Amino acid sequence: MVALVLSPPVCGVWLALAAPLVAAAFWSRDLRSLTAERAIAYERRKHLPATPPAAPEDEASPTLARLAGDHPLTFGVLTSGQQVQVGLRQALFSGLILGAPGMGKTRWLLSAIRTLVLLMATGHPLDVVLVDPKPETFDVAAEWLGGLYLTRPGLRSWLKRSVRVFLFDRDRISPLTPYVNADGLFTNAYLASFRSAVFIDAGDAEFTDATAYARKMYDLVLLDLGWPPLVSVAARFFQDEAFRRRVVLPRLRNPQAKAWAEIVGSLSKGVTNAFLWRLGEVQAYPQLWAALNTPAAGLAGLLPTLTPGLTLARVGPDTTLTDAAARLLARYLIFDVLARIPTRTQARPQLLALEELAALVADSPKLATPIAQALRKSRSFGTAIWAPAQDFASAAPTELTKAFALAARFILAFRSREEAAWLAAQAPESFLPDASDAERRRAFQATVENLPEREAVLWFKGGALLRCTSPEVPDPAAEFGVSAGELRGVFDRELAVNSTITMQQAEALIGAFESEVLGRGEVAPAPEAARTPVFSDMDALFDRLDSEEDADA
Amino acid sequence: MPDPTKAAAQLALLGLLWVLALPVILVRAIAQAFAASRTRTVVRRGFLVCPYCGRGNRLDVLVRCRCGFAEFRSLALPCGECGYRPGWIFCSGPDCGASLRLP
Repeated sequence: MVALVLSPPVCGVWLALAAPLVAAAFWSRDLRSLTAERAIAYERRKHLPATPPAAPEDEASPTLARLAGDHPLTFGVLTSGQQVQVGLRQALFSGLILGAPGMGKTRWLLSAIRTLVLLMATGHPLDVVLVDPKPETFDVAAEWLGGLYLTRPGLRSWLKRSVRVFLFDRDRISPLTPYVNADGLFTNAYLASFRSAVFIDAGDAEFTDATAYARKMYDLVLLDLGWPPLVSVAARFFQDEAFRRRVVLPRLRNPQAKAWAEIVGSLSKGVTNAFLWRLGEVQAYPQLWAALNTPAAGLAGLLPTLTPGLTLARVGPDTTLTDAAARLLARYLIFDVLARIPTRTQARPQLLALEELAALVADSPKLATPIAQALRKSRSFGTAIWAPAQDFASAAPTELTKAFALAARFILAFRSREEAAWLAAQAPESFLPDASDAERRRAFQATVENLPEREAVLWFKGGALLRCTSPEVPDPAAEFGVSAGELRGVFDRELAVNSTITMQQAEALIGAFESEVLGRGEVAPAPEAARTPVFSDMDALFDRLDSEEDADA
Repeated sequence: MPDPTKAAAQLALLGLLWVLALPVILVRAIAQAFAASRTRTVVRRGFLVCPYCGRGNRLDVLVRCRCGFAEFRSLALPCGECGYRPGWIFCSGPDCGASLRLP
């Protein structure tokens, strides 16, 4: 019995059975204590305030060295006092500037624009476009430019020549001439479809297939003619065949536009009325009406030819523009700029600072696609898109947030509760490298939520996170020692006047165009409809029939 | 008194059965040793990487077992009270939530 139990095969069985159990018991105790320690440390850390994300100076140095370059822009100041200088080449990548209102986004943007303007004024090939639907950035920039004009005589000629303004206030407007393909960069068909898409997708009105098609084809007709989208002209075009035959058709060169203009009369009255209503709705605001309808031909003598440089667009709701009208204008301008991205070259880079981009496309999700596409291809054409935004993750369509998360080379995050959660998901591993993903996200979110005013987390992809304070931007009135009203007056008188006309001038030009097109002598009035005879009784009818028979005989 | 011949025959039969079972037992023991080694590696690492989204899921946390016992340990280790070990966890990656099998 003992011999059997101790025999080699049976001992092998005992060993095979016992070894894993012994080993498991041995390392289980070891692992239990190890994992318990780690779990306790983790649970403790979870309830502690977030670890500051700022890279220590020694970790920041390689990133700062990588960002350095010619013509640097100051993105911020580290706690050590060291400036975060980003070379122009690195800075002109697309970026996202996030934060709650009043946390420093606008001042940061103004600081960058000031540096870029001075760079442009000294001959650096660069274009900057600012579209501001909440006019704060525009207004401060205008005051600063007014101050620059006053105090730097050497820059006056450049400022007069290269500052273009889009302004739509009570007295002055910037003509848009949407249906003039002056530079010929696009084909008329492309520009027409582009204009239609913006108005159809961005407007508040719903378009049926029939009205959308009518809009597209009418846009093609307008571009072929170079006419403004006046409602009075459109009404005549749709309702008066003689007008089409004698005035419009002889001038049309595009065969598609011509073919459509010949059959416009067959459109149902419902489609025509719906189209005219939608066209007129946009133009109900005098400033929009004047901006869209001022004919290009009359502007030659009124406005000087400007060279590219700084473009400032003030398209915020105020006492003249309602929110809907302002949004429409902002979208129009933004898409005009985005459409021109493929015409750019890297030899002359361009910066598009599009304020509140997310809010502008929030209720028009179809517009997210062209913006996302523009964002992806912009770098190839030397264009950078900077999008300062608040509540970006909630307001912007998912497609846009994903495109920005992918394409933005840098993200500058000021304090924000709304953005923090979304940003936390993008937090790089260099932020708390030893932590788990969930832990890293929580810590990053807590950091962004608790940033002091003007302080931000700057993340250039591929580099360490830098916690910095945005550069100080003095108030223009204090900087130049002149009141804000005076500075704005100088800007309006000397700079804005080169790209705006008065409402009276616009009305006069539009009136002249209307009388030229609609009031021309050779246009025959619309033929009167044949009168249907009315008979008061049966005798009258028989009399008429008798008389007709006599006449036939 | 039991018959010694019968007892010896029973013992011999038992021994024969053990000898026949030996290869199976050995193979099982080796497989268990490999599995234990894999578990140990994951437990020591402290993270379970999601093969779908690539996120690392922390295993060392305060675990509340279904028996009500709560302790600081790895999710991959059995409960210190009832010995229960969860078979899987959900990935904590945003927009993922895939089920990850624990070793």
